[in-house]
Amino acid sequence: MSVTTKGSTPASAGTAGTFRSARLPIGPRVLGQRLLAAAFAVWAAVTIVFVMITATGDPALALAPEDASAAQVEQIRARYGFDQPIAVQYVRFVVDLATGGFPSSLYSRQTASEVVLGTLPNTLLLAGAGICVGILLGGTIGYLSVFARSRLVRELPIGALMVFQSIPAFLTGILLILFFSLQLRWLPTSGARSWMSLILPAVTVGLSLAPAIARLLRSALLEQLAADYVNTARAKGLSRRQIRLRHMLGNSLVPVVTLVGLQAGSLLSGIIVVETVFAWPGLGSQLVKSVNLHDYPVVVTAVIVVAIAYVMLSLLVDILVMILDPRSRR
Amino acid sequence: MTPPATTLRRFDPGRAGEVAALCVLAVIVLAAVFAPYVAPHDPLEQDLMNILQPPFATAAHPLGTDFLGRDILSRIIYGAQPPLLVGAFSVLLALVIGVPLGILSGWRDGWVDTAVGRLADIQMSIPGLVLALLVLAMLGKYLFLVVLIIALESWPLHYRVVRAYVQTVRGNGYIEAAKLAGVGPVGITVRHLLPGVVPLLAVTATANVATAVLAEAALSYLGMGVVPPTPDWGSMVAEGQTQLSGAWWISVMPGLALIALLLSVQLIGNRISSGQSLGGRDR
Repeated sequence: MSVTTKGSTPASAGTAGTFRSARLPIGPRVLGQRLLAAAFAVWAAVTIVFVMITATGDPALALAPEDASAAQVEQIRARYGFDQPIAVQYVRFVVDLATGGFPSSLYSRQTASEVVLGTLPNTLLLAGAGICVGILLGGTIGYLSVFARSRLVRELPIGALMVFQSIPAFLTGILLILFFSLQLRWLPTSGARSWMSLILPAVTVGLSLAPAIARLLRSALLEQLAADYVNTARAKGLSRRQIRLRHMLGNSLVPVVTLVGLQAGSLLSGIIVVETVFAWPGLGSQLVKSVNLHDYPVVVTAVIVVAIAYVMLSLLVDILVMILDPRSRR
Repeated sequence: MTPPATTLRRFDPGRAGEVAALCVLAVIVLAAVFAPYVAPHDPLEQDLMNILQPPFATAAHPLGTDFLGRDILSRIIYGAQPPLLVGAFSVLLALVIGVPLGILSGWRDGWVDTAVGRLADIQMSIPGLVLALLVLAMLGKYLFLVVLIIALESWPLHYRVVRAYVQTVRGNGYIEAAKLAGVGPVGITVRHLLPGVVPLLAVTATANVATAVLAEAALSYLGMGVVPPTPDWGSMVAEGQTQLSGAWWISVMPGLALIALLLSVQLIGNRISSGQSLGGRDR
């Protein structure tokens, strides 16, 4: 039977425990635990990357330009300490990352961290706009699928949206370019010259996010149709609109926010692809470009920045869920 | 009283849609397997007299030709092989990793459970595509690496489901009885645990096939998977993108094939999971 208890939320906290700190906003201990877990995740990512570099051959060779002479490779080996014991190398790697002392990009005068951090604002802009589009679109369609008056409006938009679940982001992007840029000539095909350039990439990211949001919001709203508090609110004489928007939508927000957090990984992957489709000058297209150029310093830095962004996004969502749902504070 | 637990059932386009999905999937798989017999042309054969022919114009090239005069239909038929291979083998590998670990750590709380759980968490600390880019940049672009990375990315899915199942049934009477009857751990696993696990795995495996095909297509689109000129849907879409204004069909035709494959897998997956009353929730 699916008689789930009212207290169960899909929040990351797991089973609901005692409610000792329920009255505090966010307990410093819980916050500390989350920060510690985030730090652990960042450390894990850095370590994975380090293991990957050292276990897959000679890191000096990887860092050197492809046409470097043996002497040059030797020089790089000594310069970055790849001739040292593995433990020393690991410490140096972490210190270099933290201080930005990482080898400079092979193809520009900037250091790797400058190249990567320079692209970050564009990526954050795209991610933010994409998440907004996704939540607005998915939220509206999910809401309509439960409360719209006509059956057509309830079923058609969400059915159409579900198709996008099976369309990879790069295809959505190409179809949008084909229609809005080449056919109608309304929007630019690529680049980042004006705010118009942001529209198609953001819609592409949003469309990859919206189906899951709509579906989850729909099932969360349906679950609450017969909830006691809805009956109470109705008995109190609140208007239908008030019940729906303030009570039910508010209570359905937690699973939706949690979902955005759970999808953070695929969201970041999606952004990398979308940036490449639209030649959007962000972290993702820089990463792909650097991989193709074998510009390893930039690749390694970019991967670690993405991992940190991923961890931060998850942390942010965790905190947001704790604010929205006191039960998950434990 | 309560609304239907499986929300999916309400958007199911019905049995007809599922049958159609099965047919589409069968056609794609058969075409890929028997590509040399089905394809009208060699996928690499260039016909420079007939470049950029639009689709449905000539009988010789029903879906048109690309900028080298290669037959799009033949390239689509051959191009189905990499995604299907990657889909099948990466899911198989993910099952081989995830199921034993799930049974092992579900059976008994202890250091194995803790260690594997921690491993699965670490796995989650880098998004899959980024890990794939790093590995393929370091080691080179090989299809088996793509399989390996996708498998490493997706085993926690099967692991979690199996572990949760084993944890709930391990205290049941029939397991106790089997233990008392002297059935060894292997016997209990094969006779009593796996039969219950298989239906759950049908759900996770179909979901995994869809994500694996999607990942392969994305990697190939980025130029990290199958190296041209070997036909592959993802890389065909990328190749055609530069010609989008003049010859949309180079990108769109393989794109449609990809959508058809993913849609049919999703429909079949929905069917299986609503049969398992597991569907409707996003995992």
